[in-house]
Amino acid sequence: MDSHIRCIDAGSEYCPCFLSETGDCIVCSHLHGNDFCDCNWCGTCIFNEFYWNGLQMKKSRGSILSRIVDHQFIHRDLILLTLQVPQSMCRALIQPGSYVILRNPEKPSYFDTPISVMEVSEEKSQITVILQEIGAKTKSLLASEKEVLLKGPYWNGIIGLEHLKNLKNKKVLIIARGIAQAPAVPVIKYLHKNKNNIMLILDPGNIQSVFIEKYINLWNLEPIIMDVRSEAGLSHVKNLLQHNEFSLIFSSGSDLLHQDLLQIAKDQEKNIAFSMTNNREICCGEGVCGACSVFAKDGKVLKVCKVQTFVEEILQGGTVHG
Amino acid sequence: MAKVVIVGGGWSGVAAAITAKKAGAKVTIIERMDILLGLGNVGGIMRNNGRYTAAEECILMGSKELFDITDRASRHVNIDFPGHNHASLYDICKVEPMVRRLLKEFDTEIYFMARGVDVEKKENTITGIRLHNGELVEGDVFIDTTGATGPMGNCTKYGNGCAMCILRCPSFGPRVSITQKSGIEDLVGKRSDGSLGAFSGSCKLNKDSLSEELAAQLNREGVVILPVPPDDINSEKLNIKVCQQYALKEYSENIILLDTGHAKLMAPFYPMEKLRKIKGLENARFEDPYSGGMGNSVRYLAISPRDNRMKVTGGENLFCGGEKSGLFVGHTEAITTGSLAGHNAVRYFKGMPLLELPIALTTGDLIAYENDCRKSEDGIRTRYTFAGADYFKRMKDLGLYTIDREVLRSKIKRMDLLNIFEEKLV
Repeated sequence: MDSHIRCIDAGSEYCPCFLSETGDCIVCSHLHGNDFCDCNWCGTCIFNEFYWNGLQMKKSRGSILSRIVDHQFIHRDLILLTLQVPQSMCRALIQPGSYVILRNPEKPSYFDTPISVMEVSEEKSQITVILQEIGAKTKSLLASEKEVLLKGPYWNGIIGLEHLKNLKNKKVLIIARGIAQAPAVPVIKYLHKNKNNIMLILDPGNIQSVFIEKYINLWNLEPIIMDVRSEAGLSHVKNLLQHNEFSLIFSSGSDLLHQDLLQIAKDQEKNIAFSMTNNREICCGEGVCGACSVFAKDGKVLKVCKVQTFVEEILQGGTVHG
Repeated sequence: MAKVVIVGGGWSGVAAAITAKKAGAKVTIIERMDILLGLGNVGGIMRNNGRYTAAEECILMGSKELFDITDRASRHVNIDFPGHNHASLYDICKVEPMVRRLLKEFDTEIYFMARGVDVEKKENTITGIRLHNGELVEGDVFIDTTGATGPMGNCTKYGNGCAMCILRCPSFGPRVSITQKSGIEDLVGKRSDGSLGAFSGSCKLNKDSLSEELAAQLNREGVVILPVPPDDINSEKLNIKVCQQYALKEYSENIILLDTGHAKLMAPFYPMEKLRKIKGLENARFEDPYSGGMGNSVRYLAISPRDNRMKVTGGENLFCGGEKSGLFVGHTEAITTGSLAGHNAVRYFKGMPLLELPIALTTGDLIAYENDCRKSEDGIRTRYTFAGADYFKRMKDLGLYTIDREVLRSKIKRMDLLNIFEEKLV
């Protein structure tokens, strides 16, 4: 098992998952057709869990009907939804990179839409998401009247999550563009809580809107507003990197943004960690349907709805997702 | 300067560190746990039967420090127990700190709580060991002394499950075979019924949980033999053990306890219900493995293919020692193979011919004999130890067994091997 490939669900209450029963576990060699141990240790023995669960997977995530508490028009085709969820689901969605799979209850399963969680209110047991009305899935989702079908919690919305998790008292650069400002909110919250010095750039992007200011005003961040992917924008970012000692760059946007920023970061030849939003198509969230498949350099198929690996592996494999 | 990197700080790893240092190398040990000696922390049996000869041979060849420690830390010397004579039992709490201090004197760099998870190679030569935290430890020659026990998934599949032994996989992560990571396939040992692996041969009771009388007797005499109620006698369990030298009938009809600081029970595990039926053990509890009532760790699941100079076959600059290097049992066997590996690692660096111990010495004979026997189906189901079963008989038949130091001294002097491990090579 490759040492740089990890599974976001390993060791969680949803592990072992479907992949353990088909012999496709991302982590455990016994559950991947081998006779002996050879895992990328995640802190717990998955085979032991499988054994003690009667040689079966754990109960998989079920769907619940989630009441739409609020439906707000933000800008053009941007809608904010606030959803009522069980307390335990709420708690599990606080982590940066959390997402849920939503659909209009009247539609079949292929309308399943992965949506990043922007905000969580544990007190009210509610989550807030931002949707852009862009195609069949989002249009039918927004046509839902009182409730949506919700499946979760899922956690692989950020590739390179481990760089964020242990960062304390460091300087970070966060760039959030377009609708990807939404998944940046939990990242900002988390890094701020760990006393990191955050420099924030917000880019209106294709939706032509900067909409997260009211969700981050608690933290006095004074974001720079600009078009990052323009020549002037990239040059400005380059400058910032040269004149500051950032420990991390978090890129929240399309793969094109990720690639631009990753290149700039590498050109600096400083040791800057890079984390980014996961833009692969996700449909089942369980590593089964294949929508999120990326082919690694060695030809191995990575199910990116679960796999954590090097950002380069994800960006260079598969198609560029804008 | 030769940089020797040793993965695994058990008895064989530390033995290799000492001989490599003596030969002139700069030595680094990568140890997964927060203490050295691995399974040695729950062992204790030295100098029984042929191990006496082997220990003296090692000492005469210049690998004496570790035997000095175990001798000094002995709670009992020159005791007999069924099938075994003139044994020493070391105090399992004393040895690790003594070894740690010794390695400090030997200027050894030790990474604790560091797990080697991969190797970096240039063609077939290893250039470094990749640690779990991403760090790369570079070197010239590498020694795989990672053992062959567990990890958890293996103990679940081939044993009775994780018995929470001293190796503490959940806390420190699983053992990784450096041999396997460099692209060389490990061998798997079998037990006599052909199934894979074998249980560790002993478990340890907390001495404070024994009756006062029993504990006092154990402290005084070093050995206590307690008869097992006739209904509970189970001869079959003897075949599942690693340590066939303890697979005598006496061991199924009795509970044999040895005093190593723990009360060492010479059985792989012992169901609690049955254990507590025995007088003096009514309140007994396990010290190691913590769940010794249900099972023990499973061994021999990853043996390196090697030559008799401890060089891993198919590798370029990789050596092995201890349980990783064969179906061996015991600290003496680990120190013997480890010492040779450490010394030869430096010889390899220097481009010198590697040392092969002559088969006229029991240390040389065991190494060669095991390598030969493991190729057969019967051989892969057998264990190799100076202490008993087939090999001790062989020692006696070949006239290798002696406890006469002077006989060994003149033999080793004649072979020009006196203090060979003390020679500085680089």
